[in-house]
Amino acid sequence: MKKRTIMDGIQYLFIFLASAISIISLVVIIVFVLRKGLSHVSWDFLTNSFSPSDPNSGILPMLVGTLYTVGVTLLIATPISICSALYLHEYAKANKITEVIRFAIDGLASVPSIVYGLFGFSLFVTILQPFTNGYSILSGSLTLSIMILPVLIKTIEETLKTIPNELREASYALGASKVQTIFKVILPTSLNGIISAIILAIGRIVSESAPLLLTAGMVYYMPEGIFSSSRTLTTHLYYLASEGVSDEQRAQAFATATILILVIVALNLIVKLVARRIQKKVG
Amino acid sequence: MEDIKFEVKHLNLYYGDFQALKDLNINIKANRVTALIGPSGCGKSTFLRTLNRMNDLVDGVKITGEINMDGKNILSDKINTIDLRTKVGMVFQKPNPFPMSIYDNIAYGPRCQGVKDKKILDEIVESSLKAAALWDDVKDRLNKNALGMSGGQQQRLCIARAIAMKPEVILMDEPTSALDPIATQKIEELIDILKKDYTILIVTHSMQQASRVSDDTAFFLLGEIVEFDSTLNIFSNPKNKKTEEYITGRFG
Repeated sequence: MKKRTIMDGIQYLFIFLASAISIISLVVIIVFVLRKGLSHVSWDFLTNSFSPSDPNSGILPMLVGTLYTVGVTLLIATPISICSALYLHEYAKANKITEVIRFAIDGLASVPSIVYGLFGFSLFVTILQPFTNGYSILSGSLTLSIMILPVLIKTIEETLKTIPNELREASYALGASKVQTIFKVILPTSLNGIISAIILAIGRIVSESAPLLLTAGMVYYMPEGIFSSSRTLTTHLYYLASEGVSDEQRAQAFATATILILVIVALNLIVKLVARRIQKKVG
Repeated sequence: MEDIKFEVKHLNLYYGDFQALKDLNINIKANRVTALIGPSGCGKSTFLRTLNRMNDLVDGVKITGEINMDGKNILSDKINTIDLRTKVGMVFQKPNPFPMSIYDNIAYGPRCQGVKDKKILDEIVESSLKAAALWDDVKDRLNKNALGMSGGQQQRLCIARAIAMKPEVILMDEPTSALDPIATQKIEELIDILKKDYTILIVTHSMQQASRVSDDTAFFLLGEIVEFDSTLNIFSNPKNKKTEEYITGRFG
């Protein structure tokens, strides 16, 4: 009896420690980055442009490039993934076609991101160059859109699954058509899930460097639009960390990482606020 | 003679290989309450759902036979199910209001039909809630989320939502099985009032409920209608032995 109590205690401790590791890791990383980077963050750092030889360089072009990339990628990927999820869950019966679609989605999810980069490079940068202007935010966003489709589709489909069938029946029984049911009941009800999917996607967009190196390029000037080549904060960080030999550049790298973390937090908050606004409007 | 609302002829329904309804023949009279009773799985809910074509939403269902509503076969491919469902409303077993305001719940159906005028919608909302005896309870909080109401109120809201379509028929699939006795009583009183204007079919597991609210009763068993008569006759003088056994609680 006593032995079992002790075993219970040990097991509990082990499980607790195991789950604590993820929290500790997060805290350690953030504290580490902030401690090394925060001292270098200043208004100038945020608003200056970048030059490899200038110690007072800033990251404004990369900040703008990151926001551009996130925005354009979401604009492309969100409608596609909402429609795909609706097709899979509301329209298609379980048949050969949906099997193929699901297989394709799982396949997309397991492709390494550098392969997306290579693919994006050969398709969007090279073949579609007249449309995308080669290395550009558009090429990068198109590549990332394909990459984040699986995350978006799967998360949104999971949300659709949680909507009770009674709500669909209630809508049909009131003489609503399928499209009306989807737009008036299903999408508003799944708004929270769609928002979480978008937040997950933002995380992935912001954290990718490999595909963007090969599709959006490494130009450190202020982007003029979606046809400009641009660096995101992450690719900039990659550049600073791999080429930065001076202490100054290393400090810039950590400062960039600090801003990167803050940008992710800020984007998440904004998306949640927007969602709350929409939810209030919908009722 | 009363008017016949639904004339059902040789109705068969199959879920894949399983035959759920077997050669049903029944005439449902207008402006009366018809109760459908029988043990679980006897097909009474399935039958109810053929009357507004809700079974269309289920995969692998095959239906043969005829259901004539005011002389038109509603099982025909030519019937627009959207039109049909505006004429034949439905209230489900579990209250299922939409996660939106009380007002929007009621206005949902009319809006789907293209009613946009705020004045007309206001009128529909008020009259429907009054008809469902819910107006006094909720008139001050029409913009509150319907999910904040009690179960009984939610179910009356669902009835009001069905009434808002100005249907001819209201189908009720065990509307009180998820409610407490007081809420049940209110729904039953409501049914009694509503039958003046609507033809009501109610599936119920409660024999007392069937005898309290209905004018006619059909007893279902294993996909067949064993007996159909006035409620008075079914409960006081059942002709079939099975009916008698069921209503006296010997099985089911």
